[in-house]
Amino acid sequence: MLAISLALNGIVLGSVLLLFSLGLTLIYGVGRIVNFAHGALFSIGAMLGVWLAGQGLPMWLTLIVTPVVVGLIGAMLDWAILARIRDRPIVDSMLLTFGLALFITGILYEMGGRHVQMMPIPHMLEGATTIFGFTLPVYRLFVSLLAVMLAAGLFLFLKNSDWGLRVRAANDDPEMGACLGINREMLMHSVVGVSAALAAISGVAAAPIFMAYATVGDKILILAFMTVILGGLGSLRGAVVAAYVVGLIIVFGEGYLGGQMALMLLFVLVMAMLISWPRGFFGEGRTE
Amino acid sequence: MTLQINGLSRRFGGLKAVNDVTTSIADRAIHSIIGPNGAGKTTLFNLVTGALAPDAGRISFQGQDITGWTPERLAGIGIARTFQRTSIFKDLPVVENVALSIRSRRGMNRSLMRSAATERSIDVEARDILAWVGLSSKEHIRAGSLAHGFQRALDIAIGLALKPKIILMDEPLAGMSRGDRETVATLITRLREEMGLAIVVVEHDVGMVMRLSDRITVMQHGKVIAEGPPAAVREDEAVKNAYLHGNFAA
Amino acid sequence: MTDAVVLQSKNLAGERAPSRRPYLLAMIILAVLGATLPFWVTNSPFLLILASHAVVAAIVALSLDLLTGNTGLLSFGHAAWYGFGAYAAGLLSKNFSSEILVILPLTVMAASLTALAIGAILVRQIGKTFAILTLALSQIFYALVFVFSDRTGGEDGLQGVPIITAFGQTVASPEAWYWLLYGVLVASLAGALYLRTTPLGRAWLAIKENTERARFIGINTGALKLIAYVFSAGLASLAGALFVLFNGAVSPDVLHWFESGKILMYVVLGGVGTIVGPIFGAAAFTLTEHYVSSVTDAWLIYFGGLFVLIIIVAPGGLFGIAGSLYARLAAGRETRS
Repeated sequence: MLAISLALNGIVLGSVLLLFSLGLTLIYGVGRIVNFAHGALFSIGAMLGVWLAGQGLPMWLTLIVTPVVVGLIGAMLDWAILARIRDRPIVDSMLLTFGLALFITGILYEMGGRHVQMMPIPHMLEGATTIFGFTLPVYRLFVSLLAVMLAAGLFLFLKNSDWGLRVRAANDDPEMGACLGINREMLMHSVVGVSAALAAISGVAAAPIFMAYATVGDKILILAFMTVILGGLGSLRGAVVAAYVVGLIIVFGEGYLGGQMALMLLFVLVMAMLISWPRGFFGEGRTE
Repeated sequence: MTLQINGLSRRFGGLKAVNDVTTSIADRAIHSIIGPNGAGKTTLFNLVTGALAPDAGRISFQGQDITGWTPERLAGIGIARTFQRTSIFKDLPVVENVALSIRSRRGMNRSLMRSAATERSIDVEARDILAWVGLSSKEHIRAGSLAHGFQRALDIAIGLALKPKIILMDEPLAGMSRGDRETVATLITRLREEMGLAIVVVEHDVGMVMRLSDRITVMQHGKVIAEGPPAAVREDEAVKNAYLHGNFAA
Repeated sequence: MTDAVVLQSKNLAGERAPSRRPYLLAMIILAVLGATLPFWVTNSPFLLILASHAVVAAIVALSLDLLTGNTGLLSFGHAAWYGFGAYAAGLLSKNFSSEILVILPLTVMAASLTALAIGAILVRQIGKTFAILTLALSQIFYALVFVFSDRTGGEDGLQGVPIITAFGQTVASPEAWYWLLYGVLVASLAGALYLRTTPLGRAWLAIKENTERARFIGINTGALKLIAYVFSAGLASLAGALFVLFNGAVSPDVLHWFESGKILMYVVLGGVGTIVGPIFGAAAFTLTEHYVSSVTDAWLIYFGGLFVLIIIVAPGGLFGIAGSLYARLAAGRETRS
C-alpha cells in the first residue's frame, strides 16, 4: 500500500526531474557546458511563478509566461556572459556557471527569496483522485502529465524540426555542426534559452509542491546531476530513464529511511554505478 | 622477436575495426603499418600501446604477455610511443619535459625526496637526450614555443628518456613540412642505428615508408592483407587493389 | 593562468629569472608583517580575530590549490572537507579530549582515510564528472549534519566546544590563537612550496598539463591524483578543525555550497596553481566580505558578480594580473637597457 503510493510519488518527482534534466543535458550536449546555474534558473521560475500568480494571473498563463521570460533571460545570459568564454577550457565554463549560480541566488535573496512562499493550487486541480484504488492528489498527476507531454514534445521537436537537426548535429560533433553551416552563436543562444525555459517551467509547475524560495533549486540540481551521470553525460534517453530511477530512489528512500538518508543512498548508488558502468545506462555518456 | 601480436581483434558496435590481426616486430626493425583510411591502423596502434583493450587475441613483448596492460605499465617495461598530434608538456621547459620521463623511469613519481645530486644527474641525462635529437641550446625554452618540427623531436626525446626497447610512432610525418619530414625520417633511422631500437611506424606517407622500412604490414578493413619487405609489398596484387580503390592518402 | 604557470615553470627549471629577488623580498616583508600583526592591532582585538579568520581561510585556500593547482582537478565541494574537519574536531573536543595535539591528528587522519575511500572513485572520473560529484559530496555531508542532529546540533550548529589545551596549557588569548593559526599557515605554505619541487610535485604538474602524455611516460595518474586529493582533504580538514576550536562553535553553513564557492573564489581570485596567490585571495576576500557585508545585505550578489567577472576578464587571478604586469614591466626595462 505504502509502496504503491510511494511509487506514484516517485513518478511525479521523476517527471519534474526529467523536464529539468533534459535542459541540463541539452546545454551540455551542444555547448559542452556543465551548467551549475541550472538550479538557480529553477528557483527563478518558481519565484516568478508565485509572483505572477499573486498578481492574479491564471495558472495556465503563468505556466506560459514564466518559461518565456526565463528563457529570454537564459538566452541573454548566454549572449552577454557565456559567449565571452566560448573558446576557453571547459574548467572556465564550470567556474563561470558556478559564479552565475551565486549571483542569481543573491538577486533572488533580495527579491524576497529568503522566505518560503507558497504557490496556491488552482481550484480546478485541487483535491485527490482515485486511480486503481489509490488516491493521488490531482495536481501531482497534472504535473507529471505536463512534464511527460513537454518532454515528448521536445523529443518530437528535436527529431523533426530544422532546429532539432542542428542541435543533434552539434550534439554529435561540434565540428560537423559547423560543416552544416550552423550559426553556432545563434544556436547556443537558443539552446541556452530553451534549457532555461525548461528549468523555469519545472520550477513553476513544481512550486505548489516544493514551494518557492531562492535556494529551492539547489536540491533538484543535485538530483539532476545524479540523473545525468546515471544516464551518461550528454545522453538524452539516458536522462529519461535515470530521472525516474532517481525519483523512485529518492521517494522510497525518504519513505523508508528518512529524507537526508535518501540522498546518501542515491550518492552511494551513483558511485557504485560509476565503478561498473562509467558511461551511464546506455553506454553513450562522454568520457572526454 | 620483440613484439608478437596474435589474433588481435577489437570491435566498435558492429564494426570490426581490428579483425584477427597476427604479426610480429623483430628486434632493431623499422616496421611500418600502412593502409587506407579506416583500415584499422590507428585502432591496432591503440591496442598495442594500451590506450584500448582488445576483445580477443594476445600481445606479448619479449616473451611476456602484455595483453590489456595500461599505458603506465607498458612504459615501465620499455614500450614508448609518440603521438600523431605532437603531445608534449607545452607550458613546461623543454628539459623538464624529458626530466619527467627520466624520473618516471627511475620510479620516482611518488618520491617526496628532493636530492640535488639526483636532479643533477637527471639534468645531465636529459641534456644528452635533447642533444641527441638536436635540441641542445633549447633546454630552457617553454616547450610550447618550439617550432613544430622541434616539438616532434621533443616528443621523441620524451619517449627515448624511458630507455625503451621499442618505440611506436603514430604518423610521425603527418602535418610536417618537407624539411621537417627529412629531419624526422633521419631521426627514425638513427633510433635504430644508434640506439638499437625496434620502431613501429603507422604512416600515411607511403613514399617515405617504402624508403625507411625493413618491413611493411598493409591493412584493409581491419585485416592484414599483405606483409613483407617494401619491394614485395609494392608488387603485391592485394595492395595494388587497395590503392586502386581510392582512399590511400599517398 | 598560463602566465602564472610559465612563471612557475621558469623557477622549476632552475633558471635564474632576474625578477626573482624583489618578489622574494616582498614576500618576506609580508610574512614578517603577518607574524607581528598582534603588535600592530593591540587596540582593536576584533581586528585580530578577523585576521585569524583570514588565516584559516588562507589555509583552506591553500588546501584547494594543492588539488586544483597541482593536478587541474576542480572541486566545487571543498567545503565538505573543511566542514568534516570542523565537525570531527568539535565532536572530539566535546566527547574525547580537549588536547589539541590529540584532536588535530585524529581529525586529519579521519578525513584523510575518508577522502582516500571516496577519492579512489572520484579521481578516476573525467574532470566534469569529478566536479559534479564533489558538489554532490558536499551536499551529502551537509545532509549528514541533519541526519545526526542529536549529536551535531542540526540547524543550531555544534555549540559549546571547550577551551582547548596544547601540551596541557590552555590556549585562550586571541594572540596565542593568531600565532598558532599563523604558524600552521606558514608551515603548510612551506610544505606546499616544497612539494612543488619534489618529483611528486613535478609529476603532478605533468598530469595537470597533459594527462594523456603523463600516462604514456609511466606516471600512474590515478594514484597521483588520489594522493593530491587526500593531501588536499587532509589540509582542509585541519583548517576546519582549527576553525571550530578557535571559534568555539560551528554551524552547518560551513558545509553549504556557498562556502565551497568562497573557497573556490579564494583560489580563483589569487590565481590557480600559484600556491601563494590563493593565500592573498583568501585574505583579501575575507576582509572585503566582512566590510561589504556590514554595509549591505546583498553580499551574495557582489560575490557572485565578482566571481563571474574574474573568470571572464582575469582567469589568472590577481597573481596572474600581477605576474603579467610585472613581466611586461621587466620586458620593457630589458629592451631599454
